[in-house]
Amino acid sequence: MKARAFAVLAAFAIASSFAAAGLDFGSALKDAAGKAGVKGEDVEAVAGAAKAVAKSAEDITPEQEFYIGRAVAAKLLSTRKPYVNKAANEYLNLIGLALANFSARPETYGGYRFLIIDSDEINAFAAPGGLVLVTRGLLRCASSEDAVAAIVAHEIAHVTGSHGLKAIKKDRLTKAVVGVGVAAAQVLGSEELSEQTSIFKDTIGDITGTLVNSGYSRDLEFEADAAAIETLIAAGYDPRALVEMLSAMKSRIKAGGMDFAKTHPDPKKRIEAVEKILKKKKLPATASEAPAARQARFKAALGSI
Amino acid sequence: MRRITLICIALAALSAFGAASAAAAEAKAMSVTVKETQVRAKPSYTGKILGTGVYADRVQILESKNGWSRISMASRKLEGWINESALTSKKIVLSSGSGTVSQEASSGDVALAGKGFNEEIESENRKDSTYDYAAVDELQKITVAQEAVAAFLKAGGLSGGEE
Repeated sequence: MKARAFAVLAAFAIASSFAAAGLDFGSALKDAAGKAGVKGEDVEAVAGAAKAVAKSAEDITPEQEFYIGRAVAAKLLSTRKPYVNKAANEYLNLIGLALANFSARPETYGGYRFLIIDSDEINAFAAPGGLVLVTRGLLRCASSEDAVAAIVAHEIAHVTGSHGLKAIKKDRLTKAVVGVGVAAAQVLGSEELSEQTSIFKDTIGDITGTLVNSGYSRDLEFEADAAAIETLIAAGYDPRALVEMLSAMKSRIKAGGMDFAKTHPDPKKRIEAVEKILKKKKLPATASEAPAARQARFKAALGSI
Repeated sequence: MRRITLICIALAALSAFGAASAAAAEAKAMSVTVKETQVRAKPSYTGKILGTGVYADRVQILESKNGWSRISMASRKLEGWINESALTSKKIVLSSGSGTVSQEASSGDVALAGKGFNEEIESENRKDSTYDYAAVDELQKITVAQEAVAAFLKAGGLSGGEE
């Protein structure tokens, strides 16, 4: 008996050294328990004790992210109408997919999609997994394809950085990832299904509330601008278009408005941060003129947006 | 002299063994973590499509370069390049309902497909009229082939027409 107690203790000690090394606690515990001579049900009991380990946004699988993203987009689209213009939307998708290929995460579970919202508001939303909505009002601030690319690259950065998932309240995460009820149950009972759906709705509320009302932290916005610069350069766009876009937005947004102004840091602060990064980049002294073909297709698709 | 030769042979054999075991250690297994991904002839979206991998497919990593991995997928008799963003080191298993699988899943090495927020939850959520899933289904229908993206990049004087 004494020997067994010692073995269990030893297992914990070995496992915590694993945990300290950044390794997973649960499996480490189970392995260590086995190594230390803990057998059968004891191993299960020891492993079970580690089950309650809290989940984080990183534990959300791409598949779960896909369903979360679809629901976020569905919620946003319940009060916002798509802009019905095939050419304009196709053009936006080409820019978006071209940029995604040069981003930190070219592929997501269900892929990237981009949609223009029929609204004068100046705003954009990136649902987890890559469903990106951009308003007509925001696109009107752009005077070139590079400027459109700048805001799309910023939205893609919110996707690649999983910023939406980070808005989910911690106490919901474990149930979101592992599920409610008996973890091993293949089919949920009606009570569990209703509980899981209710947690799902609350989770979507965390994200849409952040996208529409409170906004991401300034740090995440600056992080998205920095990532956008890298993506723009890699794709061959002029990253200075981000400054141009932010300036145009600054002159158009109304202070205290319900749109971008409410959920994003002052464009002036963002411009300062962006220019700081651009200074360190080897860019041509003056912004090069975009090829005529690029400007022509921008005019054709979005010229009268 | 003969002894030196013997030592040389022994050393050569040892280093060959070392290289072989290093290569074996490098051929790690990963899983496809997106619904569908293309296996290409070269590490670029302009590479010819050789086949398709789907969620949870297991692959062996042969080499990695510029964000792409050359893989072999025994289950589909495929060898080619997959973008690394479509791969995870976790093993993805369809939940079998067995205790061991769920315990492994809670350890983080294994991701259970279809657990937590899944298709079943979405169909339940569709009953809620404050979500416009029809609009999302329309949006999801948009498909743009990588060939079109490559042509778009090239026509616009952008990067990556040829990588």
